[in-house]
Amino acid sequence: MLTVSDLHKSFGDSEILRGIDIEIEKGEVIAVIGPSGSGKTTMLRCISFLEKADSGRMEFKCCDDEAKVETYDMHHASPAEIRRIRRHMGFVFQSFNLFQNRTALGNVMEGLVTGLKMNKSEAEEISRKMLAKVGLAERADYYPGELSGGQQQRVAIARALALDPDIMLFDEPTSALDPELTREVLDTIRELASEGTTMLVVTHEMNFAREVAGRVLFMEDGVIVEQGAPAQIFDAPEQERTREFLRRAK
Amino acid sequence: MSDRLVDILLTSFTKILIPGIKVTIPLTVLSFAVSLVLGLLLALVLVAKIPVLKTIAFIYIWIFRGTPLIVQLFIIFFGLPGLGIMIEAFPAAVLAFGLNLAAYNAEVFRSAIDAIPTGQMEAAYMVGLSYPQAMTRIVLPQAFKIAFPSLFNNLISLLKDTSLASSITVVELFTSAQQIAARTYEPFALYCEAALIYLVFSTVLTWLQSWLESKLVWKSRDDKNMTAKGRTKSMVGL
Repeated sequence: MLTVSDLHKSFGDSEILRGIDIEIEKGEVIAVIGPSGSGKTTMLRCISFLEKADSGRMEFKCCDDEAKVETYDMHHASPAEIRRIRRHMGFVFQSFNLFQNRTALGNVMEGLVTGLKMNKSEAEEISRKMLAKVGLAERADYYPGELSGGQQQRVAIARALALDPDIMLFDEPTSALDPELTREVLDTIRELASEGTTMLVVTHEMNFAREVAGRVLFMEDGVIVEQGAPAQIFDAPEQERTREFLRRAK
Repeated sequence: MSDRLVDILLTSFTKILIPGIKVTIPLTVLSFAVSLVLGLLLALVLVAKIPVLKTIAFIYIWIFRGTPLIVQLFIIFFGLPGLGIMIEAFPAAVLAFGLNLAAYNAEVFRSAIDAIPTGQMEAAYMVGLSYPQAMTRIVLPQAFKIAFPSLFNNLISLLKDTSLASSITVVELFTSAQQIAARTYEPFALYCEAALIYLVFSTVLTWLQSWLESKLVWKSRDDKNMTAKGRTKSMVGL
């Protein structure tokens, strides 16, 4: 469904991404693991065009109809093209980034009302449904500052889901949370996985990656070192670098 | 205090207060409105880093912050007629105060916008908002809350600075006090009286500020979510 090829990105002199190729099929749950500074987050930010890649191509196929394939030059994409590709994506940030001047409900409605020009009552209905889905129906009228980190992240997930994206991108969604709150967010993501939501999840939660992902990518120094089924990556990694990382992660 | 002085103070009180209400306050409000609109535009140009316009905004702020207000006032009222541009005293004062304060408010707005985490903008982009939408709906309301105390500070300064308009023939609060002082030879009493009226005006503004700030809080109306001190309790778990 989503294909990224030959993605490169440097910040100043340091090359963060050195040719990344990913292919994501509809319904797949992919976990991206790797040491800090390996480029996981930068990759996700380039895919969502929050960072401008130095080079790279992106292809989005909504269905089997070849005529509807969208292709993007990841360096030269125009603002209109970027908005178009983002329509397919939902993004969940490490630091939640809920709109501080909106209630939980307002956060979820914003994209529907302002982005998609949906009428308010319809948007509210969808938004309440999404909040209920992440277990926060009764927190609809609370502002972000009045919610716990775990609740904020679940509102952020509802906000992304409300726009009915083709793929959900998660950037270390639990790194800012303590273990107790991490669990409630991971439960929510696990539920999405069971419903067949396509997801690309950058995470440090190895157990979660093993349990929920259909495929695990191991990244180091700006390249994908190894990928495969969780059982293969965690129990029988082929690359020495993967083995080394997993040893340290334990 | 002699009876004569008491009499002068009492009869002059309304003669100072009325120009204060009729001239000083409209002068302050109009100038502040000009400074808010222009200041916000300058800040948006600076934040969006629009080429050319950004340089113009920078030069504008440099000049208006770097020269005395009374000199700017004199250039507009006494100087511009030399170039064939005649502006009456009151509009000239509004223009001078508005243009001057815009430079300060631009910096207030700019730093407030800069204080909003970039994640707010990014989240807005990811739910499909354009730059102007993200700016007006998400970033500016939050920035305004941060800017508010500084803007109000500038408003109180402006209220007092409008007394400079007396030097370009605007008959406002201080001009009236000057005229009465010259007639009665009681400058000490009259200027103290003028000071008192300015103090009353700025005290009202200070009250207004605290009241408005209390309205500028994003909080649900759920009392159960409050601590004993009336602060919002952060919720843990469900």
